[in-house]
Amino acid sequence: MTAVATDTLLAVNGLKTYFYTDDGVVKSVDGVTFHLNKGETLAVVGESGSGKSVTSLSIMRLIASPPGKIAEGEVLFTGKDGKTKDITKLSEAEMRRIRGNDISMIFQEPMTSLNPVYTVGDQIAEAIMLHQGKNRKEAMDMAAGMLELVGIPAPKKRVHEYPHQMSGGMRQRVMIAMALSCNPALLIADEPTTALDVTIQAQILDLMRKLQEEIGMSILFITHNLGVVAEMADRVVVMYGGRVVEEGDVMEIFKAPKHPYTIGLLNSIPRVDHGKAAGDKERLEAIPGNVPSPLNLPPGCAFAPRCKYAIDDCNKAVPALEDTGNGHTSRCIRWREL
Amino acid sequence: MTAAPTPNKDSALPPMGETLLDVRNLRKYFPIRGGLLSRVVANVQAVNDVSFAVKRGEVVGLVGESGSGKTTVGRSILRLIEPSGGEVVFNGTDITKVSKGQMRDYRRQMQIIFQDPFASLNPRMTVSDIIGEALQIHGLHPGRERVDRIAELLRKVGLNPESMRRYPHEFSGGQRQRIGIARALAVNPSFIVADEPVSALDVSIQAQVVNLIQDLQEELGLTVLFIAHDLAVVEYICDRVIVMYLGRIMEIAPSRELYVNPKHPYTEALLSAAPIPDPSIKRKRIILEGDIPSPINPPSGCVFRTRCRYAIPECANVVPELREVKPGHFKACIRDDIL
Repeated sequence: MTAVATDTLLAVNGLKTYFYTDDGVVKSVDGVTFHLNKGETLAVVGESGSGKSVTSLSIMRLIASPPGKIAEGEVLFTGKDGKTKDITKLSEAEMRRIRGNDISMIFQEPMTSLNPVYTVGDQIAEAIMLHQGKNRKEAMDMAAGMLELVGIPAPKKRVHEYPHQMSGGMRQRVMIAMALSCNPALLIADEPTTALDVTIQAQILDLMRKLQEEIGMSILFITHNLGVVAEMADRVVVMYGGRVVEEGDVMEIFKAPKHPYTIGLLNSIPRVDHGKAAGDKERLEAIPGNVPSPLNLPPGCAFAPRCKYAIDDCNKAVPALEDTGNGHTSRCIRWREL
Repeated sequence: MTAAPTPNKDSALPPMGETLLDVRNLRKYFPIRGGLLSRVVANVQAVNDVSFAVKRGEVVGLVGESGSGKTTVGRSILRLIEPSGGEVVFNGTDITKVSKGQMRDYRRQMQIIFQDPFASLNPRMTVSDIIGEALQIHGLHPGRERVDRIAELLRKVGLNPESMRRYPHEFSGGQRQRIGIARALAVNPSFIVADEPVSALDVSIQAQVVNLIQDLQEELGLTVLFIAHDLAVVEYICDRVIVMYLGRIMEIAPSRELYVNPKHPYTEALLSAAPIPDPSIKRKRIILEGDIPSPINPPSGCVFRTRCRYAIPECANVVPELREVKPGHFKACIRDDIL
């Protein structure tokens, strides 16, 4: 087991998660390495098929097997008991003690991640009774307290309501209440605001920031939205084709990106605050081509077929993740010239 | 720019810059039935008293969150759902009054691009059948000419003409949306409703499709109603933007003006909520409290007042009229002492 710095909460080292399908081996996550410090928010950014969600599910050990499998690598996590364990090696029983207690997760779709036949109070209380050994009455009181913490009005009444009686934004608040009910050290948020309207997204992001200040948990924030990244993250990991292509401090990533994919992504997002003149029609800088199929990745750099800086060497071997200074890394052989 | 050829000779289109579409007091209520006799017990007031005009060659954005009624407006204009009231005047004719048969002729001029490129293409039809279906229904480009037309359309949207023999599942999301655009353009329409055409796509692909729609609009002189929830996308592509909330129009303005100088509190909040991809900008954000109210029982007076930070008692009394506050800039808010 690799040694871990004291302020590191989570260290993912060379993680490979493969899916063995009839059409071949899908290398969804192919050698991913990053770490997350205590109290920090790390954003993992990528488009569909980049492997960002499979990475987060691997950390929670929620990969359906078969067809999926963590083929290689380690996920070192320091729990509330202060002990560092390799999550990939734990038994299912040990894992159950970690899930919901040390590490919690909130998902994109608050509609489908709540059980429709139980009240929201029952669902929050379940984890509290399981991990903290409270009786039902105490757990329900704590559930109401959690609802109040996440800003749900009349929590004592709403604790007895069912998910369908709530709006999408309310349900995501319930999910957050449930995830934080046992004071986890790590919250994994997988596209938590993608299904929500922009004004509700603002509410939820605001709430997550406030709760992080109060509770002090670390957040692993999985998203495709760079606007949300700019707002939430301390550091950023950019994924493409199952690999990390760039990692760095949030300011560095946005101000001085060192990978052509990150540059392309930043140029292709429309923004409400850019300074075009009235009547001017501006064009977005699109990245040509399509996101590659994980079944059929190019032999060298996965981004090379769409990259305007690509040269012959890019197709020969997968580039290494190189240090560009200040803890910033890039998987591009031409990063110095960008 | 050359004018698009008119598909229908007896109804020549107005010149560029003149009104092509005039929506007047459009209303769509969906009845809720209940009880033993399934009588109408309430109505979902999806669209309420919506009026706006679109000039020929113009790209107008229709923006709002879920439940704002933007999609219902788009579909009512094409009569894919029947409006409950109001008029939709297209090229001088109120098409809510024409027969189903006549409506088919109008649909040759009015087409739609859908949001979900996975659900909107029949998986059992080849690309050639999907695009050719409309040509067949309208008896356009018969025989050998049809294949040429389909090939031309595919080239126009950036796909290889050889892909016409393939099935939708063989294409990525962005490519499917291109097929959906080719299908809409097949009958040479003058007006297109684009209903969230890029919302389901990855960011890097979204930009490609936005650029394609922009190029085609300019090349073909199309008039477009671009429906979206993403304000930033709309700003790139639209000349003017209409902001909706809970079935009503809140504000209409030229696009840049709306973003720099919003006059309605809802637009202000919406712009403030949009995350900006720049970590060095720390804005003081306006967080709207609560959720959008139910359209079954919308608030009296201004529908936005329950979440508005500027609301005063008077806001509950009357439905604010859409007033011109600057040339071309309209807002439905009684307060002039704000923003």
